[in-house]
Amino acid sequence: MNLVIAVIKPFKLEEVKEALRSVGIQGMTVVEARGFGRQRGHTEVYRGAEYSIDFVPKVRIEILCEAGQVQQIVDAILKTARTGKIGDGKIYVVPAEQVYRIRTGEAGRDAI
Amino acid sequence: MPSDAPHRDPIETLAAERERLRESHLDGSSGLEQVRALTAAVDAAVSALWSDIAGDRRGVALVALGGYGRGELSPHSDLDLMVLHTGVKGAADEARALFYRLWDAGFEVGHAVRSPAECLRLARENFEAETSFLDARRLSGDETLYQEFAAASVGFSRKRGAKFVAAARAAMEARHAKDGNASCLLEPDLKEGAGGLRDLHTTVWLDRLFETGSATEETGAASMLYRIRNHLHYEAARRQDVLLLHLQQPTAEALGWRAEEQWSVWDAFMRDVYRTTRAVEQRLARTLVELSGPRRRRSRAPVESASHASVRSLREAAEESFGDPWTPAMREAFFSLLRLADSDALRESDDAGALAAYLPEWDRVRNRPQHNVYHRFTVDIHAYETAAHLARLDARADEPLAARAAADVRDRDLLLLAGLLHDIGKGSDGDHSEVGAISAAGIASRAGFDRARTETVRWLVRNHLLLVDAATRRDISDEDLVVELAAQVGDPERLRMLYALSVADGLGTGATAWTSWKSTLVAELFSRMMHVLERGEVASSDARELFRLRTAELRRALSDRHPEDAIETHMHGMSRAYVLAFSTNDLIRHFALMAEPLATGDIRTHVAASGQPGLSDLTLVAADRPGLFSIVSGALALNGINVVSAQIHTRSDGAALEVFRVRPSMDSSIDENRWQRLFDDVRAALRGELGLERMISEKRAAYARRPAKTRPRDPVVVVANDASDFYTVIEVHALDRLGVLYAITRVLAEAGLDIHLAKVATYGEEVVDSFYVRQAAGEKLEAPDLIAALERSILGAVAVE
Repeated sequence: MNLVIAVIKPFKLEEVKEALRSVGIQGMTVVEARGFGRQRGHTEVYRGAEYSIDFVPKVRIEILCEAGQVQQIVDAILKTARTGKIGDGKIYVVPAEQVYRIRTGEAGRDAI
Repeated sequence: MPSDAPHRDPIETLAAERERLRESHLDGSSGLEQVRALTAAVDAAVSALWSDIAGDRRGVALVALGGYGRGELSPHSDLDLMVLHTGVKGAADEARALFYRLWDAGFEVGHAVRSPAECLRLARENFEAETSFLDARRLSGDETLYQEFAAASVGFSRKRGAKFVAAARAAMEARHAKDGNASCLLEPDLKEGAGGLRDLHTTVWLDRLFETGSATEETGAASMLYRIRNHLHYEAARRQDVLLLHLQQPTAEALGWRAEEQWSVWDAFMRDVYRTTRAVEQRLARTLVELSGPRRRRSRAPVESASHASVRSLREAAEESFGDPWTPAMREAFFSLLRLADSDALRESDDAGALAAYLPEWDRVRNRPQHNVYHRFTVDIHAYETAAHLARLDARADEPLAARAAADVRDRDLLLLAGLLHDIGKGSDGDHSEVGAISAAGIASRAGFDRARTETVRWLVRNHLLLVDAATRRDISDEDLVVELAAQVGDPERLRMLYALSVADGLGTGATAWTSWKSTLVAELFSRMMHVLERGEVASSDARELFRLRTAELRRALSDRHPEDAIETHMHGMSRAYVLAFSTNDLIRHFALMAEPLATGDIRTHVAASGQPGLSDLTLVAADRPGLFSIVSGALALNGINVVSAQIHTRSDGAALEVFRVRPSMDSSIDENRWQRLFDDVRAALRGELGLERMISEKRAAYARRPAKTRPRDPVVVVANDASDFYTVIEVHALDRLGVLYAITRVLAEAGLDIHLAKVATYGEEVVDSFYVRQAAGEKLEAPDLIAALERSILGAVAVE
């Protein structure tokens, strides 16, 4: 099992969600996140008032899946979350040692 | 230890009786009937158990406290029991035996074994214990002992007088603060929340101790709250006092609520719950004020609270008018209330009925629940919160941009009214923004707003989600989007209002809705739109409308020669800024040049006299390639033509449109031959058959440079990233000489920068050229080392040898 974590631009969330649904993904966790990479923060100014954006708003999605599904998920995200501009985000795939469904106590692939 | 009783086990009897009562609850027995019958059933069981265990003797009494003492048990309420004794031996063991039986039977039992003196000591220390003694009831045992204890408890609290009242107020405030203001929370706690049963009981205690007469009104409220609470307990099979969102609809249906016009079953049910809890809350507040009022007067001069003063002036103003339109006195009373920035004052004014004459439409949203996870308050309370946040937004340190924008809004009353009314369409069929805009405009015009102000209120209500929706769902780094949104708003004042309203709406919804994440996105969009509006880059009309209009005009003018979908594709391939920057005639001319596919090396051109004498407008279309602009600039220089200004727009399929305003450097006009030579040179250069660099330096050498009148200033390059949200702006000050534009743009092309716009100005011997550029991937040029390198290259290119 794997955990696919993607950090994407907020406005791409709907599109990515739809794409993932169409490859059969049943559930995901979505978090409003902030950070910076090559796309640094900046400062917005209005008539002397400053709003400093040190961390750029992003959306972080987490999808738990079987190893066989990883490539499909990654491809769907790569395709839909891309704008070609700086700050499109990143995808990490990490192994998930074990998964449990809290309500039933099911484990492993039954719990995905 | 008791032996098994010969008669039927009291616990079993109780269980059967509870089943029967559950049936009668579903058959519609009232809330108070239920809690009394449940209490009677529990009494029977507890008394039977107790008589088995302890029998009757002097010096011991079994006493019910709190809700059980009051005779108001819900199906899964705790049983508060106390064994009252005068130091009798064995009382503690007997008590323990009883409590174990009840625990084993599944009851939550609050248990204690105390002497009357211990009770009084506890009452002194703990307000909750003190009030639980006020509800005490003897179940069994020594009657005299119990009567002494009960009289002492009531006497103690009554003697405390003002201290008891203050403690009751403090307990209420702590309770309300704990979970927010529950009488308008979307998931009200029927027991501990504002206007819940605990408030109701506090009113009853105060009446009993100080004869306020306020308890008589509570019977109906108690019956309703208990009926709902009983149902929650039955359904959850445990103590469940919070009316959670997912329980509301099933509870409403089970208890027989019906849909009404504009009110679904769910909404009607919750409205009735809020009506009840708000009435309970108000009665308690009033009782507390009455009891503490005279005392306060003694200590300092009576101060009329803000909401009292508002209610009074709202009433007085409304009495002297017929409501439509508002009189100046009504306007003053109403907007003074809004300017207070006090959501409680708004709410209390409405609770007192003082707003009805102003906003009869308020019935639709008063006590109306909202069914989403973000909102915490009913629609009306959310409106008060929003209006109050708006009125004090200018002082908010954590929203610096919004604070500044709010401070800059000139028409504050208009903004506050729009804030109060922004959700007034909630609960109607259809889009609440659209429906609400119509109601809001009606109210604004009744309030005496002129047409323009009324229209702004309508616009703000209709578009109150525009910024938040766009910021969270669309790509705000997309210039087209920002330009389009900016054009839709039209002017900076309206944008300031919309932004302030968006932030106040978010703040008034609750912390889960208005995160700093969302705040950042909205601030960024606001700032970009404001820059577009302040630079006057768009006409103040709806950009989408204008876009449709332009497309339609183009189609009308060209459809005999070109298929309609080609026109459509062309328009969508160009940027919004382009469409908004040119007239329809220009667009038609450009389309004529760009309609057919371009082969590499092909150019199409159009020349026209400009409005001003000596100036010509040159339009040139070619397949885009790196350095195209530089090549054209070079060819112009070679042919003795000076560039005054230039714009570059590239269609999404790579067809580049370059529009120059030019004038001849020597002659008074440019003849046909010269244009032809220019175009031939451009074609040759595109084919790579013209050494522009060499020819320009030869030509430069051929013209003996006039000696400078003054010592020329050193060239300056300024690279600015704060001038535009989408482009890096490069400004070059240099000595005017042949081909200077060519030299600069060649450096830009070599650095891989796309030129979006070029402005060229000549001041005597100096030129000031500005270029809006970005990198191939659409980003600004922000890396300091790249900027430094670019500056060096440009300086090298414009340096006078």
